[in-house]
Amino acid sequence: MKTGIRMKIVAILAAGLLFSGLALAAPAEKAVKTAPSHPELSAQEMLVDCAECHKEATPQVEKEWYDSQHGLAMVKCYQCHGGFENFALTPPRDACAACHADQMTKCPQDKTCWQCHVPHTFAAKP
Amino acid sequence: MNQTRRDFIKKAAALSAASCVGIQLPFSLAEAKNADTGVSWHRGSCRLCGVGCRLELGVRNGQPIGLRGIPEARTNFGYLCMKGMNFWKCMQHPDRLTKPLYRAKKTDKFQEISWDKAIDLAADAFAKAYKGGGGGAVAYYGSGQALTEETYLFQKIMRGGLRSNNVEGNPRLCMASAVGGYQTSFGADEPIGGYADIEKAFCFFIIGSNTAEAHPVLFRRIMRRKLDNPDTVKVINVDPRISQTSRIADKHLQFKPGTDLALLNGMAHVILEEKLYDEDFIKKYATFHKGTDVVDLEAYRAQLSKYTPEEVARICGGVFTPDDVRQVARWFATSKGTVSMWTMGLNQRKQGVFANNLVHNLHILTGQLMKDGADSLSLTGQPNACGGVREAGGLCHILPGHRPIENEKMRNQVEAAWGIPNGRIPDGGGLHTMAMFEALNDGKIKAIWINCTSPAQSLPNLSKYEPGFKREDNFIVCTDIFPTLTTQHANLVLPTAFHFEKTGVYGCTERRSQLTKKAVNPPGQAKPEVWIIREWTKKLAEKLADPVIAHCVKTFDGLEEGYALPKAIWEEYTQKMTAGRDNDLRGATYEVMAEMADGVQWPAPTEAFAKTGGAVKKFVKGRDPMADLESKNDLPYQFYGPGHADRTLWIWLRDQGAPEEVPDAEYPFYLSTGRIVDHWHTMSMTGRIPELLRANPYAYVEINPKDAGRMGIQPNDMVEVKSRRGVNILPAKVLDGPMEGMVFVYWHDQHPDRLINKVTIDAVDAASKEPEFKICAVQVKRVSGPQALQPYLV
Repeated sequence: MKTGIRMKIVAILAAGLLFSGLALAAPAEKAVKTAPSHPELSAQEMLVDCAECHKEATPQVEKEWYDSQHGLAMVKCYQCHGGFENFALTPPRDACAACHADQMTKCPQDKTCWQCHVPHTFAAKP
Repeated sequence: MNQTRRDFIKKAAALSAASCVGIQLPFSLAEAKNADTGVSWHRGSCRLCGVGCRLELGVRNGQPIGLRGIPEARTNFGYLCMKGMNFWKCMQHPDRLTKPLYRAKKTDKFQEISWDKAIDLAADAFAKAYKGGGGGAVAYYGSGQALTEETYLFQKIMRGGLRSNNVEGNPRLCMASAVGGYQTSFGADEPIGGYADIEKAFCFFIIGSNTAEAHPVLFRRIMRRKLDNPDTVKVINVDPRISQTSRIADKHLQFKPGTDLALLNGMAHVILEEKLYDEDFIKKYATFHKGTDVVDLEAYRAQLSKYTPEEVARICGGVFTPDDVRQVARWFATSKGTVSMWTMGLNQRKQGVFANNLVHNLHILTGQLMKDGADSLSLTGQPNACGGVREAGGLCHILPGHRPIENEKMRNQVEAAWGIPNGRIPDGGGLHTMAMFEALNDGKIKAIWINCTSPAQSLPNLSKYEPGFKREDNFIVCTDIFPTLTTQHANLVLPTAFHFEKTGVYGCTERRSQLTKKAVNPPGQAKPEVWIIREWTKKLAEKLADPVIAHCVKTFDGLEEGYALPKAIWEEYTQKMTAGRDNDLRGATYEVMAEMADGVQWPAPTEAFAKTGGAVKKFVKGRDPMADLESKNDLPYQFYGPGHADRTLWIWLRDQGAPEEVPDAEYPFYLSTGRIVDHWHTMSMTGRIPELLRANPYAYVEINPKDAGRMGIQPNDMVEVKSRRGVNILPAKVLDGPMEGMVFVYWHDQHPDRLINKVTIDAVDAASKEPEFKICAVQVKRVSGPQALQPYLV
């Protein structure tokens, strides 16, 4: 998967390991299996903020988020999508509810948030 | 405990996943919440910063399973930051302290002991120290994260029982300059307005605060106000470092660290020169002061004459223009409502109180006070620095209810309320924080109780104070929930109940007191601090054969520690200590607070008034019952604070003053330190939450690209940051954050190589005694390419 490979390369670069002699001397780390849609990362690679990798791997998505109200207010990727162990590609409605509890009763009960709001920009769909 | 860290991460992840797909179902189902899920939701406040967000802890089968915001709360309207959403995950971490631990020597290994033995040892150590050296040989060092009930009871035993004013806490390291500023400018501690001003403000003056990361939910409110009114609302950000907060600014002014007093005086200069001040307001409510002299507007004008915009731009380093000074002064003075906000950028300074005064000056000068949308609002860093420490007597110089310790009448009031002999409380002699740890170094303090904080990480110039922690001739008791760098120096570590595992009150930035009730049991043998203090006091009285000490907790004896005990302590504090004081909290009973989605802003002398939410604006007749009660004339504003007998607001003539240490040929860079959004203080909690840890696993040094280019530093290179006091080696972030000639380091990291307080300076403000964490001089050099680093927690 092209995007996944690129993400992994970016993650390694961002972790600063590629040219590090010390990294070569370090014992091999056991890879941790992550969600199917995400490439496998070592524990060391996981120590990089999601947005740092996605700035290069999915620049459009990162930019949409960064320019959005969530980006301004520093609502980070893991707050909606979860972390590596509980990653959800599409955040469920209840992930939004931690902050937007009142909207859970005001908004249509039979729709997901993303049927009305554009992911990552959060603008209302026309 | 058998559970490993890896098991915990898996379990936390599973719980998180469950909360995403089902546990919070009440949000998405029409039926009443909790009906089918077995989840009960318990109201409380956030455990972390000083915003005071209200939230609910979800509990199923006695276990915490998630947190959600309360939409009707006036603090946060339902919004939570990542720390507020996730802090429940540390509650069941395998590293939780669950049994009392003891070692006779600090080089020994800890042994698990019983509570009976632990209480006896703590009492014995304090009794021996007291017998040998009196009140000066014992000390309490507390926290702006302790509940009000805890701080109040600790200081009561220290003062009324052990006759010691060695009562301090970490707010000395963060808010003392704000206290000094409010007391000397307005005659009373704590802000006049609050968060409600945000939605009515037209100009935000944010100085020395990265609000976006340190107070994210409050920043969201500012951001919302700006985005909804992009043309009519102005945001001014004044900081040597461009931060996330700068993203919403109409104008960001970067300045050479430590020169902002000149800028503030320069703004006042423009306001006077362009006649933008509120002459009527000044005439009715303000007086001018220089040292101990009362002066006048003309003297003030003369003092400001040298702070021309041109001169200010030069002093501040030439990054902004004279016209920038004029522009921000005009926005500040002419807006329909200006709110200033600041935190450690002003407070953690050798000129901290003066810097606070100069911000207040601008508000008094322009009348940007008391009206909706205008306030001089110091943002508090910790959840209960205001409520517990500033209001309930948690610093060496103040007694509960904002009473100065040196005032005999005030001491006698407290003694009478406690039912102890007149003269029992000493008239002074308490050591401020840095002096306290110097006394520990010098062997003068023989027993110290450190509660809910980690000074072995959070004090400046750490290496200087390490010998005191390591001495074998003192006895250190730590009460905490996790091992910290400080518990590593303790003789006795007592495991405490965490937030929602006990009951008590937090008082946030805006004079708002909020109740959090016990919702789950603490793990293992962990106990609420109020129980620990009470039992220790009883044993102490026995060992010292002192009935006065016993009397201090007599009314609390036998009360159940989960609710009845803290309630009784709160009642004593509010009904006896705050009655008639400017922080009158008599109406804010547990019963009233339990009814509220949020809480009560003092003064709130009656339950009926407290139920309205309390005083949104202090000093305003018709909105603040104390202002009506204390009214001396027909004017709408009454400044009844205990600090100013003349009942006026004081404009201070203060000049630009230099930091303790500025760069020179040997140490050519400024160093500043601060928070990042994902972590809280010393990381003992947030470092144990996988999502938060990974988001910022270790500290970086931020370097301006121009400086990095000159020194050949690439992103992630390892960089040495060295001062005259200590050295760190940190990975580099190269970005247009710090201005040229300045580096910035996060202070959360516990690793010895990345412990930035080994590098910071311990010079203090002469009045507030708050250290100058924000400015010192360092060398910066590249030591290697990137290295694989690991997060570090003790």
